[in-house]
Amino acid sequence: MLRSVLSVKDIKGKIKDIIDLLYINIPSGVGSHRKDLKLSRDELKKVLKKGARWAVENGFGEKEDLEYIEDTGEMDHADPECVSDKAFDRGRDQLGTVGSGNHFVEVGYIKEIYDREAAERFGLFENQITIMIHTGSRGLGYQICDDYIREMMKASERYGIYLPDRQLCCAPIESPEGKRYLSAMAAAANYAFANRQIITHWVRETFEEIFRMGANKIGLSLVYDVCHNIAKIEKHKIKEGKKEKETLVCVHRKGATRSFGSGEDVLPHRYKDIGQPVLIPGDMGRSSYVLCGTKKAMEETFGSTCHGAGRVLSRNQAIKASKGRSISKEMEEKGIIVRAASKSTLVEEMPEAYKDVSKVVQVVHNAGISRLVAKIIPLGCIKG
Amino acid sequence: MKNKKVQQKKEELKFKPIEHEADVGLEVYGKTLEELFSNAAHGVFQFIVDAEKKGAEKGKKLNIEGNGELLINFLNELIYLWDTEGFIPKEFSIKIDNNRLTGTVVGCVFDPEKCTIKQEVKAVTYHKFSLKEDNGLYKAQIILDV
Repeated sequence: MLRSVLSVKDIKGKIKDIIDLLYINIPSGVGSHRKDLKLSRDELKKVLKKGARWAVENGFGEKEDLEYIEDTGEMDHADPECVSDKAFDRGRDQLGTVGSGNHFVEVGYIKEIYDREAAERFGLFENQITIMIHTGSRGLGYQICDDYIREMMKASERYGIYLPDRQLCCAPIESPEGKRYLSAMAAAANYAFANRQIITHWVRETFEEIFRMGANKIGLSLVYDVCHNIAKIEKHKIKEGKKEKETLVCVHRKGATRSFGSGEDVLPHRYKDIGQPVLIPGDMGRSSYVLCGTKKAMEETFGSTCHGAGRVLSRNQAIKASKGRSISKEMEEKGIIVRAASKSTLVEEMPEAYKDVSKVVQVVHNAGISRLVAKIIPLGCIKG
Repeated sequence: MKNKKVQQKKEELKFKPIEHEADVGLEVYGKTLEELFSNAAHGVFQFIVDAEKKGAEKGKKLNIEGNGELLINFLNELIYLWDTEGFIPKEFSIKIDNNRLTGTVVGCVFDPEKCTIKQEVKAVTYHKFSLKEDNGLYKAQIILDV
């Protein structure tokens, strides 16, 4: 998520131009990519090793961005040797692309602040223009998943693990298969960090072009870049009998995101005494939220919170519910400009296909695993 | 009598979508394994792209092993060809023997002027996967990660 120094009034009448230009500058990757970003295998290897640092070293964004990325955008146990040739092939043309499904780049503004202290620390204020980028490791990640599922299927048999569903195939973390997979997944995470960093750069370029001023004046800086759907080795307090002991565990945040509270060493200096920003995007028509990680999350959920609203209509149901309607027009009537590479993406992602995120974040806030900081209302978005 | 009617209907049907909360699913039919594989490929690609306006122009050799499940490997291979080359399969001439698929597929390459992108399919999964033969009719259930 990026913040700016702009207010809603500054972009009045410009939002259509911004979304149109974002749509040109940031390819969806579904049948399109930037011709000016083509990588050799060796270069892609560097991306998998260095993550967002590769992007910054190659002119995409600023060094200061790295501090505001989970793990500074570079997981050091990533090993490109654990990534197949096929995954390399799929990754080559897709760096700097958004992808379809629920992936997007969204321009919005802060409608409401709930926690002044945290909002100030995150650099957020009422009516401020924000940008949310949601994408990941693209085809490279999907291929790594497919490759390792086949490997894990054999491993599960080897280790005598009973599988209620074959998609749940697995291996012990410390086994050779487990270690290789974690190294490959970290490489995919680094690719995702680089991907978002490149898109961040193109978002800045887009705003510079529209406002005809330097990025510094527009103040597009990173609030935080955080992963979801990832497994990480972390230290957490585990009860052993009556005592609590710091223990190394593998936390798999599937459908979840990290929400570390204050005092955690891995947080950026600026957020250390308050907790990390937790980003929960909603659907394209309603709202998104910024929350703040808590100590309670460290005690109860291994420092985790949900990463989105979750679907309420299946994709088929959404298609049925949209018959005879133009979702893009409906959004425009609400004042939200949407550009999508595919009509079916729009239909499947229509607001009523999702739970109301406002209710979801209320549950999270009341449970104490993150606390509400700010509400964001969408103005426009691009999708794959 | 009723069963016979249902059976007939299924024979005509190549595939149909099935409900899944977050992803999309397909039930696929075929009188032979080869026909089922071909129908499954068309079923998966109807989610990905509409290329009706383009004819077959390019052939590809296929040689796929059944390490895991042959049908899933076959469909994921096609997704890989789509993702890396924009290849859209049209007609199959394949043989399945001893858990190995060999043969050719002819198809076309994505052209934004003539084809319409529908959505990205990440992979075909093993979740709730099944492939059965019942009374000379093969039936498979596949869930796509989208």
